[in-house]
Amino acid sequence: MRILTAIFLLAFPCMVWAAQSATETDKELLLLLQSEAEKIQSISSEFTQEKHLAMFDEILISTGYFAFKKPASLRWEYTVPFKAGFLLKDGEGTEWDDASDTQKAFTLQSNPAMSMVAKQIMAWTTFDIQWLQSRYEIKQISTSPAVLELIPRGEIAKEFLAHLIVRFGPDNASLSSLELHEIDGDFTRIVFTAPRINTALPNETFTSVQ
Amino acid sequence: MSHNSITQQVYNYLKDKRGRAYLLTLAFLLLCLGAFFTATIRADIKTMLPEGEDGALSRDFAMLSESSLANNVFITVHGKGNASRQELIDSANQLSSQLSAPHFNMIDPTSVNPLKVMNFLLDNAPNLLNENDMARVAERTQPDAVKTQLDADFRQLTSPKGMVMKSLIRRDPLGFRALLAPRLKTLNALSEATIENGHVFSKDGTAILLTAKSDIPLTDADGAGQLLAIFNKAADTLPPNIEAEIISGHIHTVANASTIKSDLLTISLVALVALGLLFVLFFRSSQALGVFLVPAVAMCSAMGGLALFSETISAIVIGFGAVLIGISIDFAMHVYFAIARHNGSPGDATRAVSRPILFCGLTSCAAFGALFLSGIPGIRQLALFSICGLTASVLFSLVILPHLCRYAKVVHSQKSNNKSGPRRPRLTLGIWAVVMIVCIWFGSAVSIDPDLRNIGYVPESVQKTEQRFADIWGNMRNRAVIFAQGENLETALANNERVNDALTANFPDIAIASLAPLIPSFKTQSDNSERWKAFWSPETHTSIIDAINTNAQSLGFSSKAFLPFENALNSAPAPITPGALDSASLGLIKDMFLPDTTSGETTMLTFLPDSAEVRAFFSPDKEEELGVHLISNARFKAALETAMNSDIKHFIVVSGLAVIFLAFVFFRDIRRACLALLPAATGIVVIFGVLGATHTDLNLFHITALPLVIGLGADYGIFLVSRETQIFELSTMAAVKVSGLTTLAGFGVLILARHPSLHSLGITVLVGIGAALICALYIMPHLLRRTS
Repeated sequence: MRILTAIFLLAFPCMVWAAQSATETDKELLLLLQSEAEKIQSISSEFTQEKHLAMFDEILISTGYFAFKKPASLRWEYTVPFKAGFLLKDGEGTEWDDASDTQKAFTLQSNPAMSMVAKQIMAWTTFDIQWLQSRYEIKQISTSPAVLELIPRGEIAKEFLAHLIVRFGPDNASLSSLELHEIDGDFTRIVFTAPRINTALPNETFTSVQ
Repeated sequence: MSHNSITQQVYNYLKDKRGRAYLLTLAFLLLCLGAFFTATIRADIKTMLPEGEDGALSRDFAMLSESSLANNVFITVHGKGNASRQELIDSANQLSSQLSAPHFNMIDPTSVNPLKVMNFLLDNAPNLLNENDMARVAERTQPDAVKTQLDADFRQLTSPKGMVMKSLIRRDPLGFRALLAPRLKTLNALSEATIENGHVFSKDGTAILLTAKSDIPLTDADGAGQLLAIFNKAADTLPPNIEAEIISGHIHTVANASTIKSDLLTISLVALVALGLLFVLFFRSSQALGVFLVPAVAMCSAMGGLALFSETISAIVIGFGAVLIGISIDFAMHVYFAIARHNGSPGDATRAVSRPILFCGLTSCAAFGALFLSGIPGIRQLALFSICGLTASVLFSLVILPHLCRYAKVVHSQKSNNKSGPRRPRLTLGIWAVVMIVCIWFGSAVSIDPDLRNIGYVPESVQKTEQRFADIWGNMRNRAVIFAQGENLETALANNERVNDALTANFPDIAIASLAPLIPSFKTQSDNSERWKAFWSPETHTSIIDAINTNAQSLGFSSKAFLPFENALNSAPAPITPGALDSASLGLIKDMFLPDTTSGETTMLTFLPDSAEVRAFFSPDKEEELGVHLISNARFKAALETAMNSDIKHFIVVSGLAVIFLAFVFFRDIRRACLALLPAATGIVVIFGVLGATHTDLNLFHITALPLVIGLGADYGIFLVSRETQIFELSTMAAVKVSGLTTLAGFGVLILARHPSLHSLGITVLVGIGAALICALYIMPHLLRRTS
């Protein structure tokens, strides 16, 4: 499966680098979002994920917890309807899943799939504008609160992903929700509730599964 | 009529027809040049490789050339310190955008579409899954396993990876891809690199590999220089913490071309000064200029002669032949000194030296003739080239040169030499004997360097870059290649599969890269397909689909969620052909493992480590049994070493015997014949002694210079022993000294060259001719005086 996941890395929307312009976007807004994101040293939040997939009769709703601390500590876990997720600190991490009751250690160097997932989540959290612009064409939908539409640039990414809708909170300091719209009409919405910014996060958040 | 009187009569005959003789000579030389320029010149190393038994090694080399990555350009982008993956990706992208055709045709690793690859495997599961795999399919289709797998599918669809996995899960809800994906692992055996964001990352994630094909031939030094300049310009624009390094045969082309160019400039200047000094000291006459025409005449004749007998000519042979043929000037010097010192007519003087010159020419031709016994085509060409050149120089020296330097007079400084006789004979001979014993002692330890790469010039910076490349990406030079060939595709596929099975069974721990797991033989595919059909009987089909639907429903899947899986079960795929890899976005892989060859047979490659165990396993019998052929760098080296060992023995024994025979025929006296050979023997022994003492391995260019030392050394000996018999009474010592010094000035300065091949030649000539000359001038007079 390692080979399989490694191969699937190609599917991430990172194939073509971009002209570093934001012709259709208010540059000032992007800079403002970035400057707000730069103030974030840590962030944690519960989230609710809705999966609107044609292959399910109903919407799949799951909830979980997310935490990030600079420079590169991350925790992403689902708590309902099942427990699974991963945590990461200093390039080393652990994946777990209660179905198989297993924990699997990994490093970013040995597991590029997880590296890519982590990079995506961190890029959104810190609003890494350079990284995002290299992979997405960014369009501004509204200003206050900021809503952006992102269209992937990579050819293989375009086979899956039509566009993303990113909504910021009222203070534009952090993400309020993220929608990933697929080519076939399916979409995923992740809503972050009451994000806590720059609060003290115990070290165990990023080192201990429990 | 003796040949002596013939030379005199020829001189007299041409006395009134000098203009016509010069014109005829010029016409002959132009004819030779014309013949040469119509021949095909090859600049590659192929002609310098041994042919092996029945040309087997030549065929191996041709196969390897057609299949290797030799024309690819590899670029490593890595950080100086702690560069992030993103910085590496950005830099790699920036670099790629600046490198364009024809110098760089960048190969895009993103052309491999993972979804297409996985769908290709799933579509062809009936063709690919063997008996063992079907046992695991049976396990995965048990009710409990179906429930577990669908639960895993559900979780995966919920996770961040769900979006890209969705279509695959619909196509393969039971996870058969886990049985098929290991077939791709075989391709990873080429390197431990991983593909991330469309870039090839090193195992530790600190470097990105860019690959390009170049339209610039490796032999095009100018084009290679432009390619390197474009790369350096692009690399200079990268951020300060990122570095890009290039690995390509073009770098070697540029390094060798520029080194040879600078070497030739240095050597030419030093040689010109040295030759000028000799001219001032010993000639000081425009009459001597004719002497310096002889190498040009020899060169033109040699090129023409070679073109007459060889369809293709090696540029390496021309280059080194040009250096070796410099010895042709010696014959002209003896003629010049004879005329200058003789009181009679130039015809008389020429007659006096014609016999030893003819015999010296014969001994040199015999020495170079031994090269005909070589198993290396280029060396045989060198033999023909040298003999043609030497023959022309002897004829020119005896027939035309006497007319060109008929007014030659010796300068004063030459008349004063040899006034004092040899001193302290016992001490001199004792020192010589000790030197010989020491050289034989050290010379016995000389070994052969069969690595052709060491003949080329590789700057230290390039060596370090190549080492770093090998450290990061693995050393491709340490890989062996197995060629599975067949008159048709099925035979090649079957042989390829058979060897893969044998390797997997006998070497379970080594990394084998082969297409066999992706394209088994049609027979195997047919057997697999039958087994698949037998498994999916209508009853099994119904029960498994029911189990899927029941579990899927409980997890909330829609009734059509796994329709693609059901549809696939109802269709039978056609057998996999290489063309199918193109539509699976694996065209790059197909080209690497299934190269286009000129042999007309389908050829499939397997890459594996070049270990002693692997080489031992692939004995000729085993290769025949499996219908494959293993080619390895280590085997190449061993074959080259054997060929070079055999060549050295042949050169020394055959040229030695031929020269001894000719010396005996000339003198009809064993003692004199042996004495005449003393300088040549001294030269050879000292060469081996110096190489052994300096721990220098004998390479191809040392070997090609040995006949030169034997030939020239024998010439000195023959002329000096001729004094004893008073065949001619002219100043032999002066002629030998001047010709020896000329050779050292002209070719010994090659020791200043940085290029290994020129340097090897320079060392051999300097040491060998230097020792032969010292023997002729300071050892032989003691022995001659005592016996006269």
